[in-house]
Amino acid sequence: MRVLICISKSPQTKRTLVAGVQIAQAFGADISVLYVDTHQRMTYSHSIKFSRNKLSEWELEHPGVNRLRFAREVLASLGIIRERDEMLDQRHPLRPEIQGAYEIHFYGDEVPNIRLRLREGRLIDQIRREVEENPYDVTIIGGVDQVGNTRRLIQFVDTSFVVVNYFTTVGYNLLFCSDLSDSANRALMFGAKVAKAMNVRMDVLRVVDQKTTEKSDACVNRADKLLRRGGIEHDILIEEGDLVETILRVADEKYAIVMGASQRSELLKFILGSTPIKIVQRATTHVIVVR
Amino acid sequence: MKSRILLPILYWIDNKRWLLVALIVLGVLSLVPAPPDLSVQGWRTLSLALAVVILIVTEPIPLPAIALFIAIFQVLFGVGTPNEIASTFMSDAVVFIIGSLMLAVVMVEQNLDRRLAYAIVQITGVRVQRITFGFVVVAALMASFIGEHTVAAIMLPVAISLIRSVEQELGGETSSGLAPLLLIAIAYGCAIGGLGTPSGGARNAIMIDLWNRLYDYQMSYGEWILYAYPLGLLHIPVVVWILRRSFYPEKASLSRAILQLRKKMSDRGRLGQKEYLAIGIFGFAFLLWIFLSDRIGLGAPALIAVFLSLAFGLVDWKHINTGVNWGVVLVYASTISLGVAFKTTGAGGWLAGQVETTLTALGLHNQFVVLAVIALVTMVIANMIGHGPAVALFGSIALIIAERMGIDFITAGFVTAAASSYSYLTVIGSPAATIVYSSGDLETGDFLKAGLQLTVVSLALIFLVRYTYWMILP
Repeated sequence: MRVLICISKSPQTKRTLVAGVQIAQAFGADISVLYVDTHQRMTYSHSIKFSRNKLSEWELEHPGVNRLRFAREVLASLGIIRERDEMLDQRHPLRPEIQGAYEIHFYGDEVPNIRLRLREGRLIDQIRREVEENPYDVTIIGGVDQVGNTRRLIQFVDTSFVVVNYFTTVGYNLLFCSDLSDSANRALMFGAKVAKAMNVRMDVLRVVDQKTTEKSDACVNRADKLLRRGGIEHDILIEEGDLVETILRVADEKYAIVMGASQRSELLKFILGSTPIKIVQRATTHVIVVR
Repeated sequence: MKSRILLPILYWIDNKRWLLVALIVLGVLSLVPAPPDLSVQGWRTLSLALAVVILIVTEPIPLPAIALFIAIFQVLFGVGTPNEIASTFMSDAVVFIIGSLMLAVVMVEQNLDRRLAYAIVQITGVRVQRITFGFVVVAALMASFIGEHTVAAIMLPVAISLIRSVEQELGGETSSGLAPLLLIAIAYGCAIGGLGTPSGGARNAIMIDLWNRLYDYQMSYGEWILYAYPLGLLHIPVVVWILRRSFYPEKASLSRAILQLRKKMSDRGRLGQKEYLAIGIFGFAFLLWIFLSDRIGLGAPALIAVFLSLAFGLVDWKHINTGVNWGVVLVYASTISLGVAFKTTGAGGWLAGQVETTLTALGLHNQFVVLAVIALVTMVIANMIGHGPAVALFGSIALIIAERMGIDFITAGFVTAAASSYSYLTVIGSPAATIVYSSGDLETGDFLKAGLQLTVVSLALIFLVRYTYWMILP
């Protein structure tokens, strides 16, 4: 399994890294940390390239490298990069053009490989390319500022997502939002694994509206059975009301939300959005969307 | 399976939405009947210009593709015959731009940056105030002769070296005062200096070309300097003063940073044979521009200098080929061509008439207001699409508007070129701004912080010079 952690210039990005590492450790997954330098504009890109060459002649680092250094320091402080002879165990130093990015590669202790990667360009475009060129299973990203970018990310980047929001609650549990989809089943498995690894409870939320059927009861029952079997503390919460509003109200900042990706057609998602997109856009807590 | 096909299509639509918007705007406007006093070709030219502005601002496609977009639609819209349109893509201004870009590669190959750094730190000392002054002066003087993208690129390492040294002294903290101060000093130094001579930037050559095409007037290199250089010099203390008011560096003295930079520069050695030759060739081109540009134009001296550089082995063709941004050449050529279409199709005259009617209705029908409107509109466009394309697209319209109001074309041309240079507010306003921004040490808000004040001051200075110094020029 491979986890992609997208970091930014925000000082809160450390929390994204910590959350990403916890999830990667839960699955024993490889970690890639990606920083996208969005300062590059297409206009005058030739001149920018020329100025970058000048900087490298002066042995001055590429502007994004200090973010990679920050990520390395955080990962080292979490003790997940292997040390050898009191040095971080590095497979190779910063190199350009490794699957379209600059990359430093470390060996990890609990996670096998740790790659720090740097790309330039538009945020969503670069994350999408990163995922196309490297088969990641989960993308972990800090709160995305723009509403449009959230939609693009969830719809066009083909991985599961953990959107880390910077809320103040220290301890939180997971809230699994049950629905009828196949992806909800995968979300249940994913959430259960995370809950087990992080030793937190995972409550199951069923929102009742006119569409509620026997099948959705079956979904809740299945969740109940699986969590009981896994020894994960949980409650079944049954709430009435609008789906998005209810999930946001119940989750508040007490829970991280776990849900399956929408099964709507891509065209409808593009035009109207979807429940996960709306949740990610409005939630102040972490949201896990599993494909 | 269905989503595998649909998703990339939806992503393309999402990613290229501004291209679609531009095409829809172009399509709808070209179907709308032209105003009664404007030809169909004129109306379509205006629609095309609007679509081009959308494309340059939003960047859904690479810049050279926009140049192709202009060429394709000029032909499809019947703005002229294919041969007529193709001929408007090439002129002395375009040759001059090509030559200047090649010459910039020659200068860069001589590793001027390290010498420049040494000169700055030797002359200015260690006080931040004086260093800022040095950055603005050096950037302005250099950008008045060679392209600002070259100046910004070779000055950037000097500034970044100082910034990183100070950050080290601050225990790894990001510099939020020194970084914008020095980096914006480079960008604004280039902006105010670039107007100084015709070789300072494409906008200058484009304006000379417009005068030539519209009024059959060939302005010489020396004459341009006489008009424009004092305006740049006047700006230097003002820029330094505004930057100091806007950004507060963490340290007043950079003694340790300067010491480190001096150490780095210690291996620079003496000027070699090749460097003397490069300076000699550039000086020769400068003399040709000064004394012969009214007869042989601006392009030929630049090409002579490049030819000599190749002949004497100062640079090889491979470096010129990779160092010159041919896409930018295409963009300038195409926007100049569109500017010419404003004249030939009557679109410029029609737009000028609309502006005149509006100003008359508002009771603002006087030369000062018209020049102020031209300056303001040029500044806005330049901040949105860059100064070169702004002059290429709006220059001919500005000249036609001014002509209708009885303003001489030289004054109107200089006001337009100057206003386009002073595009301080955005990252894409100039190549120098884009380059310093790409360092990652600036926020877009930094440009606004100092740029808003400077925009007002620059407008005032343009009019001060127009009503004093330019009045006494022959």
